[in-house]
Amino acid sequence: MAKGYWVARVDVHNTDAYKDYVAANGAAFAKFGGRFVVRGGQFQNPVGSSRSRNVVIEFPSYQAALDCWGSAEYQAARAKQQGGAEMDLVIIEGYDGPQPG
Amino acid sequence: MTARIRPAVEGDVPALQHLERDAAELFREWGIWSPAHAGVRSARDHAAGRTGGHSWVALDEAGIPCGFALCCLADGHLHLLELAVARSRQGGGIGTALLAVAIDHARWRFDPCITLTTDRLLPWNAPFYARHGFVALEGARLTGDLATLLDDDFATGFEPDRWIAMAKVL
Repeated sequence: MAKGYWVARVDVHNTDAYKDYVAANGAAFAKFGGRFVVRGGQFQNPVGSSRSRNVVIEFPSYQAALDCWGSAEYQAARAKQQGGAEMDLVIIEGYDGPQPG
Repeated sequence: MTARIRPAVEGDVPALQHLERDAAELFREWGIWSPAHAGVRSARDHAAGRTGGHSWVALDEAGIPCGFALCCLADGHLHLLELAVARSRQGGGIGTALLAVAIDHARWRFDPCITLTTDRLLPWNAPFYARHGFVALEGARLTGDLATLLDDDFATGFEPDRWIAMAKVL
């Protein structure tokens, strides 16, 4: 089964609120089998726009990725940001078919 | 050796308390008193670390806990409450790996610094942390929760002329 992913780009304006969010979101990710594939890390933005922080979280399935977003646990964590961050988030199904070469 | 590091879970607590006692034996060998001789970090301390997402366990090849890092919050930033490695595994980079996880997490939280209290002279204490960018805080630079934590350590039995607070600016 193809996995599911959150691809998020974030600008944080209120670091205090963001700390509360970071402390709380782990429970939601753990419940739905989420694991960080990318968490910050150096990056380049050769074309287009970017935000200061990039995250990719892998879930066991696309449905699990969707369920995590809709969960009470994640939404409660997200509320702790209190508008202190701007985030672009794509929840996307992975690909497990043949690869080039 | 390699060690896999994962967030701590509730069932780890007895093993982590055993690890803390085991690691503290090295203090005894050097003639330094350690609070682990009297009592180890409580289940409440560990629960608070898990809830905050700042408690990690290193597992050996067999999946057995061989080290852990437990943090709390002090003045709103991460404070390394305990870093312990099983005596049989010391010197293998596990403490460094656990410390790196804690530092990375502090950066992830946008903390301006990470702090700890430690022995000034023991080679695996202040000199170890100094190699990783920690500096001693004294006098007017020692304020707030960190000063309270240091006072708590003194009250527990650590010697004021040996036990110090350190911080790493992130």
